[in-house]
Amino acid sequence: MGIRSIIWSLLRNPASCLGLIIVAAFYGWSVLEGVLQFAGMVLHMSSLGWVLLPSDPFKISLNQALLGPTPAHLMGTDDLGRDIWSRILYAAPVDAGVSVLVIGGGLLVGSLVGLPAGYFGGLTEEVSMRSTDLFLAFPALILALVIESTLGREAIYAVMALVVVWWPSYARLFRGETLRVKSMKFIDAARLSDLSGLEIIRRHIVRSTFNTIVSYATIDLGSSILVYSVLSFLGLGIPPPAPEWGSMVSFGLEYFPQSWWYSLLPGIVITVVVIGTALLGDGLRDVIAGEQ
Amino acid sequence: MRSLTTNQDVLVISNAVKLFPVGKRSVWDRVIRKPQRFVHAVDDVSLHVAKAETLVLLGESGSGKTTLGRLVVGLETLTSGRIDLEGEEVRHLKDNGKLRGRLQMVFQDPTSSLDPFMKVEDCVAEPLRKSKLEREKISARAVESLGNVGLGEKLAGKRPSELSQGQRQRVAVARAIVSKPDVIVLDEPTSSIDVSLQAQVLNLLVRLQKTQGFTYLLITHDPNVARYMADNIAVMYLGKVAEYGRAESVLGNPRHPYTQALLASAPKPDELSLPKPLSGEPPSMVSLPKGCRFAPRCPFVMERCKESQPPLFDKDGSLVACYLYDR
Amino acid sequence: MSDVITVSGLSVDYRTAGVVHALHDVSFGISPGEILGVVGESGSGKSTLALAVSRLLATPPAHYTGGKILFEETDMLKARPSEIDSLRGTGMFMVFQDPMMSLNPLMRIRDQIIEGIAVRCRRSGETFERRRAEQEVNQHLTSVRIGDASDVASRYPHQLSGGQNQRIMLAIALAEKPRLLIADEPTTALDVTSQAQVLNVLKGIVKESKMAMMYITHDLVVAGSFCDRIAVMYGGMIQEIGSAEQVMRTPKHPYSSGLITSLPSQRKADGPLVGISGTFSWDEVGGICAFAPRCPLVHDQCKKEVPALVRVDTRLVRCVNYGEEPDN
Repeated sequence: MGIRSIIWSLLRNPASCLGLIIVAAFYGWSVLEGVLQFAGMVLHMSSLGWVLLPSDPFKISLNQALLGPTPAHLMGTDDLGRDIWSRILYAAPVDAGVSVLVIGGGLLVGSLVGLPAGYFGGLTEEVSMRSTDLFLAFPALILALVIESTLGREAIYAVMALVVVWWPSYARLFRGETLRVKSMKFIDAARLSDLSGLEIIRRHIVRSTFNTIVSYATIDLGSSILVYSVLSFLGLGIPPPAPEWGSMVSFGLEYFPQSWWYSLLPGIVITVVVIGTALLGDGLRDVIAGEQ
Repeated sequence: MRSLTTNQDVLVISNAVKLFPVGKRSVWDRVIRKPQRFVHAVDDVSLHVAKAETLVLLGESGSGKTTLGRLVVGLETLTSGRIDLEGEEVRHLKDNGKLRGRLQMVFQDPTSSLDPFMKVEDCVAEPLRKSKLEREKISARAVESLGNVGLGEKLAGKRPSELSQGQRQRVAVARAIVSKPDVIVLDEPTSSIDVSLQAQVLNLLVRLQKTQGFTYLLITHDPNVARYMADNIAVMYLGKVAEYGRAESVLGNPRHPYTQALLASAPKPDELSLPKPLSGEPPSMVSLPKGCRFAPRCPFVMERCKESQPPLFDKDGSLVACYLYDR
Repeated sequence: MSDVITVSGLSVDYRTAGVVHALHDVSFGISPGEILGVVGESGSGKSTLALAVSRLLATPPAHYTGGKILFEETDMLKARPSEIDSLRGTGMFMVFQDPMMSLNPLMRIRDQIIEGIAVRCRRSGETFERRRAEQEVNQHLTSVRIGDASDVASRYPHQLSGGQNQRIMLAIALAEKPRLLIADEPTTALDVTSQAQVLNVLKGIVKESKMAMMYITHDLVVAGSFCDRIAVMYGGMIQEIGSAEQVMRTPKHPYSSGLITSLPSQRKADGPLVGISGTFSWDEVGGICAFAPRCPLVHDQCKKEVPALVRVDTRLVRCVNYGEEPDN
């Protein structure tokens, strides 16, 4: 059940193939662009960040403001004459990074809480599950607002807020999956081989549970992008002039519907990426279920 | 009970009792001291198995045979009573350091017996992980074990999903024998595989016992499998031993009414008519009748059967828990 | 008496990554009051046959590639979905292996049986009367040997044992009075004693109401004791079909005799069991005798083409080892 055979199966189905292409393009581009931006920051050569872009995403030219989509500006310009498509491309690594951090963090904390809860049961389970319930009650928005109003408006605080809100559902998932795997006889066989609980979790349970959860996590990548876009839309993300997909939608609303491209096109890009993760996650689930 | 061989007893089960709590008790239940109800999964069972012999636990679902098997290997803890392996007490797994590798189990379902993400060789080698042997030695032992069950080295690198049910069950047996255990508990090892493969697995088990001297505790509901494999048979009903004796005696001349009914209910290859059924339903394991557990369904029931549970009476070398045999 | 169901030359393919010939040239008929046992191991195609006959196969990935299924007057392969729907329940009734999957967990037993009665009344023109239906429920539950019928009737499936639930499925079958009962491993999940009870009840029902029955199982011995005729399947094809006595006492096909000798009927001291070597694989099916890779009596001929069904006494055997007289 190697990676290669999984990718091959995904490519054969048109829906998951599309999802794979979108997700690969999105994250691939984000890694590339992100590396350039980081290098640019370190070497104090910020222009590195837009070497691959059609135009400079920060260049203001008021006489070019609010132009509709043209070959020169594929998605038009915003109120300050900046090329929207370049800004979208420039902002991609933010959403990519946020999604990876949030879901990664959710998986990490969720597995640390859920796996022992499912395997050991008893007090461990009670404590874990009740704290999960507690954290599930936090509304993401309010939490982000509170954190940022005390600590300042940084994207990283939004990420923290999201991780706090996201891990409980993974804890539940891991616990449920662990309970299912625990009933398998190979776990009994491992206990008979005198393996300790932690060893069993590490050798057997992690692999079986991650397999089922990975498709859910893939879809969740899109969900986290969506939620982060909402936070950014409300002004809780990176402050301007840095572009961010959610905030672009927000700023563009002022000029809607005459300059519809300003708000709508970034929104469509968000939607496409989220749908891509959903298609890929769905396809992954079918492939994994088929293998079992 | 005397066995007909001079072999020493390897496994001795004395007055084993296992109770499982029924229902979830909330904090409130604990506060008001609501009495906890129990399932008497195993109720005062005493048996022994001699070296290189096979004791078959014959019974239906709810008889407690699976629980007893799990108690023997330490996957469950006794509520009371004692299980000894060559004189050493078997406790819960965690405390069984000295007994590591000497008790093994083969499970019923070949699919859930093996981790689908582990290579066959690693599955088989797992019981040796905690031994002090080096990696190459462990690997060699695993391959040797696979050879003993008739599987070639080529399969060592495959995953269980690439094997058939029969092959998976052989891998499970290979895993059980790799640590050269004293006793192997086999829980319905052939119930989930095709009949044609069942013969292969049974032949394998017999051959291994002859060549390597393993002692088997075989759990089954199939009297035909019992007939083939058993030296001794213990028939279980609702957590208690109904009849216990040499295989020829129990199968050829069943004394307990339940044994008679069980054997009569099983269709036989040479008889082409339907067997006569036993009446009634097995009672729930939580609220058991006061007297003999089989009384509600027994065609020979007497008044005293409903009053108290019969002890085991000796009848021509077999032990039978039935007042019909009270001298 | 004309057959309730006649299947001729039925072939079904599964098309997913490759093509699997799940059923090939399957033919049989069942007359009213007759029990046909379909015996096979995993991969024999027996469950596919049950689903194919009752048009419950998902198409795709399954495709009917040939043959005919005639249920009374209806051509099952040509009929419209609405026609087939009207046959379900009172025409054809299917009982599956796991009763928990067939029974509605949210309805009381009584209501589920009443539902069956209502369907029967609607189709046969009988008037449905609630009170009479409730009495009928108790009647049916008693027929399937469920003690304390009125108590059980008011319960939900999860409160009852597997054996009881399986008998309740049969009670629903009784209520609907189908002409054909297809049962796929209905007693596999039951204890030997429960199985004996259920089979006794079933045989009584079938004989009394002249129901035709198709009993699918992997257990040849149970089939021998319960069925009138037995069809042994392997690799999607019927390998031998004849009366139960013939197939059990004097099996002709090497697979049938292999199955019988695999049964442990002796003690280990008498020697190893003579089973069937090797395992089954769908890769080896297609264009040759499906059993050839494992057959002790194999010839070159067996690997060249699928053997035709040949008449031996009053039965049919698909094996080159037998006579020249082909079946018409």
